[in-house]
Amino acid sequence: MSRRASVATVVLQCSVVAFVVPIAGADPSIVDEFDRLVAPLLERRCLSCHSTAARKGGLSLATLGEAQRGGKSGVAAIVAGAPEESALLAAVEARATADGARKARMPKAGEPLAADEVAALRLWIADGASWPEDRRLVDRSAAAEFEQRCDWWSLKPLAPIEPPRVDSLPQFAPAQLARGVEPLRNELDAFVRAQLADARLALAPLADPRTLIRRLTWDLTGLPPTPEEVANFLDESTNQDLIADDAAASAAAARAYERLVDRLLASPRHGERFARHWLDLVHFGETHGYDKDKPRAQAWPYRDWVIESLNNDLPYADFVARQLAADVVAPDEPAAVRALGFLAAGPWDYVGHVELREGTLDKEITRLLDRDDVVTNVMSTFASTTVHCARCHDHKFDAIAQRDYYALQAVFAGVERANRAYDDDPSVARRRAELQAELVALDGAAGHGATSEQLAASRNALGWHGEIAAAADTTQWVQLDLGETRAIDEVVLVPAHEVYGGWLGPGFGFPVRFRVEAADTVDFAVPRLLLDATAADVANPGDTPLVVEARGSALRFVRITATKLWKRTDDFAFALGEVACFTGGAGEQEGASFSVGASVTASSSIEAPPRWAAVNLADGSTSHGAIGSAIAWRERIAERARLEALLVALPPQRLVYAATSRFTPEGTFAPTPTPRSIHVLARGDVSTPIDPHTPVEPGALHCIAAPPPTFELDAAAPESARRAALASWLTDSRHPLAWRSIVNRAWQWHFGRGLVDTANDFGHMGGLPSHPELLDWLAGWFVAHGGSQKALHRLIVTSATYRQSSQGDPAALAADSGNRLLARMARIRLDAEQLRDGLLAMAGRLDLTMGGPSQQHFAFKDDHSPIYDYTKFDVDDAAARRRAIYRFAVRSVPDPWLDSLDCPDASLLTPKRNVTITALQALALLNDPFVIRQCEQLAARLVAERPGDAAAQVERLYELALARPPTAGESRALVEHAAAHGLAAACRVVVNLDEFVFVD
Amino acid sequence: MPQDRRRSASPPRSRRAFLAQLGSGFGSLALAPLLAADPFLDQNGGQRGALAGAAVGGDNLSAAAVQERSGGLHHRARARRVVQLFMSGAASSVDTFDWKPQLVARDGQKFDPGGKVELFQSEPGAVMASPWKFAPRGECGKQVSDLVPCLAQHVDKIAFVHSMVAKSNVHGPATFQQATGFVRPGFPSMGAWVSYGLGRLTDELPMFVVLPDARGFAPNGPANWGAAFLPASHQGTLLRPASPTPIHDLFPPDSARALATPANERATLELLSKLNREHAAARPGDSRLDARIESYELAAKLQLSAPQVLELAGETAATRALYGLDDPLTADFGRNCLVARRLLERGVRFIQLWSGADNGFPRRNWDSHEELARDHASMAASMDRPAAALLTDLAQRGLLDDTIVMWVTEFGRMPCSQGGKGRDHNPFGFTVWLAGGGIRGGTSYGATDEWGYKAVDRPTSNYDLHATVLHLLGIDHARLTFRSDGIDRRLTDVHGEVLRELLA
Repeated sequence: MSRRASVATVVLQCSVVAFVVPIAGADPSIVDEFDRLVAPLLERRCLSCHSTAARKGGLSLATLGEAQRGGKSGVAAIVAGAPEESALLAAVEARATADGARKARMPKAGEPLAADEVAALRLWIADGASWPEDRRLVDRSAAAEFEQRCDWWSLKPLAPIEPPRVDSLPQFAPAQLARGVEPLRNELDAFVRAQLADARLALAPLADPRTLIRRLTWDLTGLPPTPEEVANFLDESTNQDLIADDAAASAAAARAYERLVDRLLASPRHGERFARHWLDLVHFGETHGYDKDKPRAQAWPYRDWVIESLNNDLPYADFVARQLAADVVAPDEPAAVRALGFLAAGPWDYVGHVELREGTLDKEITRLLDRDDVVTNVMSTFASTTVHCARCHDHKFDAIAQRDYYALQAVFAGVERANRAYDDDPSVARRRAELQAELVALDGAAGHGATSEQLAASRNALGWHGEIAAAADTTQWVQLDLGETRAIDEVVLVPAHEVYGGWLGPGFGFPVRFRVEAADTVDFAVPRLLLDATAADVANPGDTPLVVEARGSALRFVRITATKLWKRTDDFAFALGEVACFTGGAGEQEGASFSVGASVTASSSIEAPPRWAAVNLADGSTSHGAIGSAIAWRERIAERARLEALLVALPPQRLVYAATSRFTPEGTFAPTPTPRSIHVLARGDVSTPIDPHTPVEPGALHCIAAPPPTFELDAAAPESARRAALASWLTDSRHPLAWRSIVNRAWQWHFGRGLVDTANDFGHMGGLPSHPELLDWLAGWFVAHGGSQKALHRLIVTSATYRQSSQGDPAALAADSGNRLLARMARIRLDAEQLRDGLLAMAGRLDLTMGGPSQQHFAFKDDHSPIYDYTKFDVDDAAARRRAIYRFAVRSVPDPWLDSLDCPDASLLTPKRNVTITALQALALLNDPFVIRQCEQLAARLVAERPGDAAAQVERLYELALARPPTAGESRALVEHAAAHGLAAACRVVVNLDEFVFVD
Repeated sequence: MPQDRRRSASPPRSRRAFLAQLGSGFGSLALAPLLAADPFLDQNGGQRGALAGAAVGGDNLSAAAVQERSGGLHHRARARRVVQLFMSGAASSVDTFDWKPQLVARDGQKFDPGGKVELFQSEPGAVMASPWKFAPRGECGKQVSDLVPCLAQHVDKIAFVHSMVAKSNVHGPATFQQATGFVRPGFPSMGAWVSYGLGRLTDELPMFVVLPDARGFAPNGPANWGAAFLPASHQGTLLRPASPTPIHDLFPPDSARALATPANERATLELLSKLNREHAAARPGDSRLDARIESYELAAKLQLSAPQVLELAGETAATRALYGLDDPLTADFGRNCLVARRLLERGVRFIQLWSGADNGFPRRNWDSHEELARDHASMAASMDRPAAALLTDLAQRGLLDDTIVMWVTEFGRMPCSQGGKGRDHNPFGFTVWLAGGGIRGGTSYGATDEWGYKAVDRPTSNYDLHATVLHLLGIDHARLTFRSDGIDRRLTDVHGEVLRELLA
């Protein structure tokens, strides 16, 4: 057996993950043995103290010589061939200590070495301790490795950078024009040209005006330019009459271009276009995903907030902070809570949250994965960091400890995804908050010191529920036995308040017609009628208790008989929350309800504890706290009613599906009164918290120097303070990741590829910036310009780099086929939404109404698992005519047409769309009923605008679709095609052209 | 770079030929639809082109070496195609293939396997014997119940895995796990991975085809066959044999018949091709333009081949009877199985075939909470004969030698009742099976406890199952990766062991 194999075999037999070593392959080699097994072990566990520099106890293990010299004791740490004489082994092997326990002296920190690690060292020493002569070990302990990983371009502070010097910046010299050299427009070009020059390349010539306006309009608004816009721009760019010389002509063209940029950035269409990029990034969808892919009817306000914010050029720091903590950072702008839709944008496991029972492992897994989705979204989107790789272990490549990951989970441990109510009007919002605070105080006072868990339990013990009946006029009864004959002054019926399932809310099951009787005997042989409401329907009382006067009747049994039941959807029920009996004269009503604990019998009872059970009817608790003393309770009810009436009188609130700590419970899904405890989980397993008694504090990443990762929150701070702290961390002007991330995205949105081509991963496994200085300069510029995204877009699209032709110079194509250096503009394929919107626009059918609930391009049938059928949608429906940003995005069932054109899965963070070319795409553009219909509409438009002139119709078609007139040959071919097959057929050809779907 | 790991093997010959034809350094820009399948090429129009080009260009494995691997990506393939029969809703193992005499002996007694029994929607009821009798079958003597009498005849072709465990006891996540390897949405389906890894056998049909239950989609819907972060060309193409439009947008809608005359279609494609070629000629160096031109030619091929696949008139009466096309109970699933065979014959790589729709009422899948005897009986009756017919037919045509048939479900069902006559979810131990290329028939791997409740002998995950199938296809599951959001994603996440005992 070779040496290497001998060590490896021992290790494999012991089979510890860290030491699984593939044996197969090359010749056995001593170097391999040392390099694979011994050196990594020493570097990881020993060198932090015993390096040449640190030399604790005088010992260094950096070289064989130093190890052989030993430390202060003078004993050699390693004696080749003699394990028993090697102090190293004596130190790391478990030996009996003074107190009788067996433990190893070294390493001082962390776990002792594993048995197989020690065995490997022993064998290696026994085999001769071969150590290549020139090999010097370095500290690779976790701490050292962390430091090393922190030394990375994206984590370095943003430093001021001077663009490369260029003579003509920002002017452009006529002399250059004469030589055919494209002038530089701004600093970006200086960076790009400098790197091109290094490769002996240059920018391509300026693109022609038709190409420019087509490129810019699709890019900034997601729509094609109209022929009129093209004509105007051509006029302004090339009107030679007014211009004396080439330089002046060029200047005029440049001014025309800048006016065009300004016009397009000011268009509301711009926000709609860039909101699409943003919603891709944050995996915004309008159903939950998973099984039971229920629609989220209130997700759209977030989408509208994004569009509005982009159109209003909300500074980027505010844009970010509002999406994390609008409730804290914009308290005077209540409609800004729509931004919190960001945190709820992703998929959500309905069954796991609503139906799984509390206390099960699966429930905890559901929550863990749910927070994981939120954390992933936040850190991928705002910091281009793959923090989610640290859920099960420290990040394998980046300086992200597992603890940092769970600190981020802790930030979101107090919120869930649910409909969050908000007011548009700040004054209404303030008034509502006051009233709600009073209500909370009132209910809190009623709790008499009850814990929030007890209150929740009381809310969940709904009451008694008779069996479901098929007809309304079914008679059902329920009665209390007070145990002894008592003088009763009042019988109070408290309606049930359902918190689960399809009939949520107050007044559940309260009968429409009923009577209340009392008696001395259980069979009600001689009933005393206390209230008869059987003659006419009674309005549902909601949460308001019904007080029935009993005037001191001395009785033992109280019975409520329903003669007409409450209607559910297709059937009928009778339920009550509580029946309370009070006694005593005016001065004596201090007493508590004496019906608490009374035995309950009924004509039938659905026993589904804890929610429904006969005993709940006399348990002394209601949906608004314990009954307590009669007077206090009645006053509280009256005060409640008053406050609620005031609340109801306020203008109705709107809803947004967002992160929230307050929402209507459904099933087992309920708000958590305080943030849940978060622990570091070994292997990400909820059943193995590493330190179960010490929750992780909310915080951020330790891999950057500033801003600091610890939040210093008060223990009593509300959960929103955690989110606000993270927002503050992410928007700090020093943040190295956040600002690089967004300027890189902007670059990608315009050029199709970022300066870093892994837009969501600036870590060690991501791409390196192609133009690192340009990236940093842009980040600094963006911070200095207040985070104005429109200014950033303007800077980029007015650069010569953006304005150059997409036609590659053969030399540049050969030298840089991937166009990393930008010697030409990227040719970009229109995405699915651009194609859809563009077809509608060309057909004259695009409805530019903005905002509001999403348009459903499918037939919807609610069911256990809802059905979304796109084939049953009429493409002529008005809903089809809005921009695609307003379509209802179903997660589980994608729109097949958009899907075939690379519209991403809304369950997936999509920093950049795939661009594929497939046969199914060809079929989608040739045959889809939507496309065919737009071709027909487009043909009708052409006939209306150019009646009776086939050539003019084809010319108009080209201008609409391609921003240029056809050549004579093209015109002839399409006129012929239209004559033979109809004008719609000619339109169908044009919308399938490469030239239509690619933008030069 | 990790992308390079994915490129660690030689490209298939067709791609090499294609690259040679393109010449120069721009081969990597190619995205012909044929090659959109190709794992070695960049998915973004060559934006990582230089790197991909270098990796491809640097590959000097001989054509003979490629041949030697029989189409495998990393090693010699034992199979080239897969049919995944997916029993949606959770098919019971103790009523089909996992014989537990204990349930008969203890029928009606308290279910007490020790420890806390945590069910999905109920408290555990009494032990419930299977309503179906078990008997030894085939030469191997495998005990199989009367619920699946036709499949029972094939036990000597089948390798059973009895010790499957699932990570979730909820249909949605568990179905995702079986379909994609992850309990969350946003991951590529197994079929998409296979398509991505192996590419095409034909350019006339999609690589990955999905035949849903005629009654509707299973939980999670099309997300079960999505490509997620893989290029869209790898997603499952939905095929509905019974629908007037079996493939979405294959032909223009009826309302546009005027556009769909053969003369018009021919003229349209000719004119389109001419104009596109002129456009591309003026823009050298961008092979995406050529790829788009070719995509229309491929679309035309698909228009010819798809109807041929679905034209079952040429099948003999015996074949039609074999698949149960003559019986309303088996006709839907039978037609899907027969179409599956025709797709396999024509070179489709991966077929996902669903038995069972969503969890609605009345039951239209295997989720028999209410009345097992009634609901499992009808599901099994619709599935058993057609699935067995597929095995018979593939075998008699020699296709089973290099086709893997997987019979899977998201989890199993409890050995106890849930109070009434139904069984609740059981993710702790359930059965799946494999048959076909490279599989050792007549074997059983792993075991549940005496109740059929928990996997006790060699508990096995979907990762192992997926790793095993990929292995047979010539793919090392640990090396089939795709970078998404900072992680080199795999079908098998960070897990997976090939179940060598199942291999012939």
